[in-house]
Amino acid sequence: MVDVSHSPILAAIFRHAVATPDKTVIVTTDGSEVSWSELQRNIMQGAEWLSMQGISCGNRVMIAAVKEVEFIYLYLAAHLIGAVNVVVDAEINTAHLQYMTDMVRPAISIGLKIGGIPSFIYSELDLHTPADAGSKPNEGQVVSTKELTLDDTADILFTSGTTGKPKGVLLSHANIAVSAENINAFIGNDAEDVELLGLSLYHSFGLGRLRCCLMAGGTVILHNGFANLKSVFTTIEKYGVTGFGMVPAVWEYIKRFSGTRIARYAPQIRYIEIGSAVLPTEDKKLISELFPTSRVCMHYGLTEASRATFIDFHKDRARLESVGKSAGERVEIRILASDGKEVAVGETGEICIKGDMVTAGYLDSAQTDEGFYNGYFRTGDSGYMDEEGYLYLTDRIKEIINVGGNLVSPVEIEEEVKKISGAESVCMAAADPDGILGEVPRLLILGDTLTIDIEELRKRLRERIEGYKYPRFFDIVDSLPVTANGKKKRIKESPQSKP
Amino acid sequence: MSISSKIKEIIAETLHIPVESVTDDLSIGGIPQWDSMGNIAVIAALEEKLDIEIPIEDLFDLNSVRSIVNEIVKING
Repeated sequence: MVDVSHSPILAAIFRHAVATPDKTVIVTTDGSEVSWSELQRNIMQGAEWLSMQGISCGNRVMIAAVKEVEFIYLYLAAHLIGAVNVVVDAEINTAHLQYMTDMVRPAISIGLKIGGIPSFIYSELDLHTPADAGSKPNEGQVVSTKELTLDDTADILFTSGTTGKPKGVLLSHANIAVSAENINAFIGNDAEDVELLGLSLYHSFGLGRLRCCLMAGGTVILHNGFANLKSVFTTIEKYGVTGFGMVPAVWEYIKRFSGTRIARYAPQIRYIEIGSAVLPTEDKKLISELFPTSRVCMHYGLTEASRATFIDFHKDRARLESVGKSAGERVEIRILASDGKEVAVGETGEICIKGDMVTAGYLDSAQTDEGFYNGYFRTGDSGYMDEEGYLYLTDRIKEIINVGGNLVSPVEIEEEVKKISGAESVCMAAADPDGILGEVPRLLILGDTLTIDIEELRKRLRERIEGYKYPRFFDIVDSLPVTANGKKKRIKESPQSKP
Repeated sequence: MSISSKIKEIIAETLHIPVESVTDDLSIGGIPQWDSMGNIAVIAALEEKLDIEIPIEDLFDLNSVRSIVNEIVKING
């Protein structure tokens, strides 16, 4: 037998493959079905394939997270041999990809072509080797070069940093497994669940939902987002979907494009998990009313500390203004003052988290030092806790814009504007005028410093950054807002200009 | 320019994709750029640039380029 004691997720998959070998675990976007035994076999084959490419324990695998089974096979195959996945968006911009490549020095790239690195796009992949002639996986071909442990790094996920450079979050096999266990325990996921997975897999939320389903032994229906609601609803009907995850922006989209017709599926929906951004209390009440018997939950967490708290919209109906309580006994939440000392109940401070799902740190150790207070991860969010342990968010300490669950660094946008036009600018959060995304970036440009036409700036900026980062508002101003200390002031303001 | 070509041009411009890739069969959600946020931008751009208003009750039935073209032809009478 292959030793998978370092990975509770792989161990669960291998158990399900023995217990329910013929049951469907994945339905692909084209309707193909993969059984648990096929999943196990393909993970083994993926591990062999990676080994044949010279990948071994500790090597980093840059992998574009797409809704393809090959991504799932190779993501888990890398775990099997102790390689580290660097999970990225397939649509990542060139500058960021180069930055990440320089940071992690991957031994191989899957799904993205990177100069100087052996690269394979998904359509070129053939994981089958001559040894696969039989139907059983050839376990002897999977070589591990050292004894793997739960604390070995499984994944590196990049998240927006306040300095404009993404931060590489190190997540161990224990981190991702404990997170999945906490979520499944709270939501009550089990092997009978059929989840529609429309979330992006390069996000902590979406990838986490995939791991939850695999741990629980359920079935995952891969779906290309939520844009095509007709297809979403057809899929819910066709496969008897029992649950799904979504971000608040998707909920707003569902309301706007389909009214409340999603409620017709309420009797079959056992759970909905919501997260990644703020959901207005009135929407929490509406979802509760539309899904009166479903477990409707919302989490608060970050890539570094996945699902730190949970709120159940029905059970916690009197506390819907909060983000709930600690996700379980293994998660500690503390509200700490700037000196690292705990504040009194009801007093505001920085929300800090300790638990087995919390990252050990970042690729850059200096960022790790700044990121913790005495073992508690600093979220950069301020809030307070009431006497019953419910957590309330009040503000954000870190200068980050949350665009519908995608985090944007204002500094990154300002630096790009400077590179393109030489202009000094301040990027800040503004309320989304469409009421969908919550926040959108707004750019104030110091007119005297702008050396090119504003339309040219907009065009070139659009080519250099991802769509969700692109400022919704461009304002040319005579002076930039600064704090008393002369630093750029990036407080959220109401938009003055037209989009 | 036909209304179909104009619609495809607006979709391509909004999603920042080549107009050749906007075929009749292209479905909403069929490419990464046409996600839910992209679809909101597409509908807003079509309404603004064609000076039309797509009825809210019809939005759910729009799931491809072809269905969008048919809807706008219907609106324009």
